[in-house]
Amino acid sequence: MMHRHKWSMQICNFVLLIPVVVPLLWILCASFMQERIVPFHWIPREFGIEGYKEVLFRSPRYLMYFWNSLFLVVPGVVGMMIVATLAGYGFAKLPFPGRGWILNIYILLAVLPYQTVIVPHYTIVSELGLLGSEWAVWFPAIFSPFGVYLMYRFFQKVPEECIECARVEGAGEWRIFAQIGLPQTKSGVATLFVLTLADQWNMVEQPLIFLQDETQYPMSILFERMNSYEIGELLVCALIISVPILIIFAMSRHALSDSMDAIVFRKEKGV
Amino acid sequence: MKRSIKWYVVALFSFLVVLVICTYISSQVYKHSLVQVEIGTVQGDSLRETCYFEGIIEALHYEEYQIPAACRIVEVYCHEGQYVEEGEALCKVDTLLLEIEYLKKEEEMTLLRENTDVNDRLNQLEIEVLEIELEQLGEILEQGGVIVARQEGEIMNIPELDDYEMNQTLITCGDMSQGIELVWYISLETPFPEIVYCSIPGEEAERRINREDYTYFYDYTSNNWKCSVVLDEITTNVHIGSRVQMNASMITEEYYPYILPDSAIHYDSSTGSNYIFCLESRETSMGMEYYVRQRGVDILGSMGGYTAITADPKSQVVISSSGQLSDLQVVKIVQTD
Repeated sequence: MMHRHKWSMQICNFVLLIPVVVPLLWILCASFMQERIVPFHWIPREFGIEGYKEVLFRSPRYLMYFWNSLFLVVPGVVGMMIVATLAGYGFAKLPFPGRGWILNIYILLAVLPYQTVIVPHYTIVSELGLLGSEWAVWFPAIFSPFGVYLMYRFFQKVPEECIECARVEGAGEWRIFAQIGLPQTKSGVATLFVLTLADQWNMVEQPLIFLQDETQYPMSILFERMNSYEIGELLVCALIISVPILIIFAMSRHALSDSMDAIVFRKEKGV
Repeated sequence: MKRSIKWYVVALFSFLVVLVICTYISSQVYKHSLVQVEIGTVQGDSLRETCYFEGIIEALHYEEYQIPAACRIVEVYCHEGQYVEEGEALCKVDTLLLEIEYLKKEEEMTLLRENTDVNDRLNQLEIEVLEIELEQLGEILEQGGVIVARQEGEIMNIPELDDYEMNQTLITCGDMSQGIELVWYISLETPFPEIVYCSIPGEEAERRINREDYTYFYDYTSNNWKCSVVLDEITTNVHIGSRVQMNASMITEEYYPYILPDSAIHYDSSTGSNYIFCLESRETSMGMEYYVRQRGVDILGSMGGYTAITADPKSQVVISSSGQLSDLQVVKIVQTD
C-alpha cells in the first residue's frame, strides 16, 4: 500500500514538473536551430551553433549585458543582506519604543506590489541626484522591507535565553549578533540570499526607470530589445542568464528546505 | 562547507571564468570586424562648385553673301569652318539660270522706268534696288558664276552641291578682322560663376574672366543663359568654331550654416527622407566606445559635392564608411590626414 502511494506521488511530481522543465529544455533545443523564426518543435531541422558563436565569440554586446546584470545585482543583494540581518536582529532582539508600529509598516511595505512604490522611489533617487547611476538600482534593493521582515522572523527563532546568557557573560550586541544570532539563522540568510538574488536577477522595471544609458542595462532587458532576427542569440542568452541562478539554487536548496521546515515547524508549534 | 556546495561554487566560478574569457575573445574579434568610418565636421559656407564646360570661338561680325535671284549651285570650293583669304573662290552657280534671272530683272527695270513718274518715290526706290541687284548679278556673271570671298574669314554656312537657292543668304563668312568672342552657355538653375577660366588653344596660361567682364542674355533657342566675352590679343591658331576648355567656380549667393559632403547624406527610399550618421561615444566597462546615431535631415541645396542641410548635427558626422551602417552601430574611427 505504501509502495503504491510512493509511486503515485512520483507520478504526480513528474506531472507537476513538466510545465517547469519543458520551456527550459525547449530553449536548449531551440538554441541549436538555425531558423530565424523558430517553430515549436524539438529536433532542429537545420542544426547549427551560430547563436552560440555570435554571443560567445563574435559580439561582446550580449555578454556585456550579463556582466551588467552581475554588476547591478551583486552589490544590491550584498547590501540588502547586511541591512536586513542587522535590522531584523534589531527588531527581534532589541526592544525600543514604537518597534511594533515600525514593524507593521515594514510588513505593509513588503506586501505592497513594487509598482506602487516605484514613483516615490524615483522621486527620492532623483532628489538625491542618483538617477542614471547604478546607485539608483542598488538603493531600493538595499533597503528592501521584505528582507528585514524575513530576517526578523528568523531572528525571533533564536532563543532569548542564549542572548541573555551572552549579555550576562559580558558580550556586546555586535558580538551577540555575529556569534550567536547569525550562526543560528544561516538557513534564513541563505533563503534571503536566493530569493533576493532571483528577484533582482530578473528585474525589468528598475533599470528601465532608473537608468538612462542603454549600456548599463542588464540582460533581463535585452530580451525586450531584441528583434526576431536575433532569436538564436536570444535563446543562448536565456540559457546563459539561467545558469548562475540554477547553480545558486542547487547550492542553497538544503538551506531553503531547512528554512521551510523551520517555518512549518514554527507553525505547528504555534510560535 | 559541504562537499556538494564546494562543487557548486567551483561550477559557478568556472562558468564566470569561461564567460570572462569569451567576453575578451569576442571583444577582440569585434574590434577587428568593426565598420571603419571617416569623420568630417560640419561647416558653414556658400555652396560652390567647379564645373567644366566648353566655349566656342565666334566672330564678332559676319559677312553674308546673298544672290538676289534664284540660282543652282554647281560647284562648291570650300566647306564650313574653312578659313578663306580675300578673293578666294567659295562656290559656283549655274550661269545660264543666272543670266535668265538677270534678263528678267533688266526687263522689269526697263518697264518700271518707262511707266514711272518722276514723283513716284516708291517706284524710284524699287528701281534703285533693281539696279543694285543687277550690278551684283553682273559681277557674278563676269566672274563666270564664281562667288569669291570679299575679306578673310571663316566659312560658317555654305550650300551643298546642286542646292537650289532662291534669293536668300547663300554663304555666311565670319569676319575675324573685326574681332572674336568666346561664347558659352549656362543653365538657368546654375548660379552665375564669379570667375571663369578658359584655355585658349595655343596659349599656355589660362585666361581669367571675371563676372563683370562678360555679358549674358537669355537664349530662347537653348533655354540657357548665353554668355560671351570679347577676346583680345588672340593667337592665329584660333578659328571660328574652335572649342575652348573652360572651368568656372560657381558660388551660391546664400550662406548655409551647415554644409556636409554629399557622401555623408543617405537616402531612405522607403520613407523618402534623408539622414546622416552622427558619431557619438560612450564609456563602457571595456573602454571608450564609438557608435553612430541616425539623424534625419532636410536638404536645402546641393552643389559641387557638398550639400546644405537644415539642422545642426551638433556632433561629428560620418562622411564615409567601409561598410553598411545602421542606427547605434558601433564603429571604428579612421584617422585621416
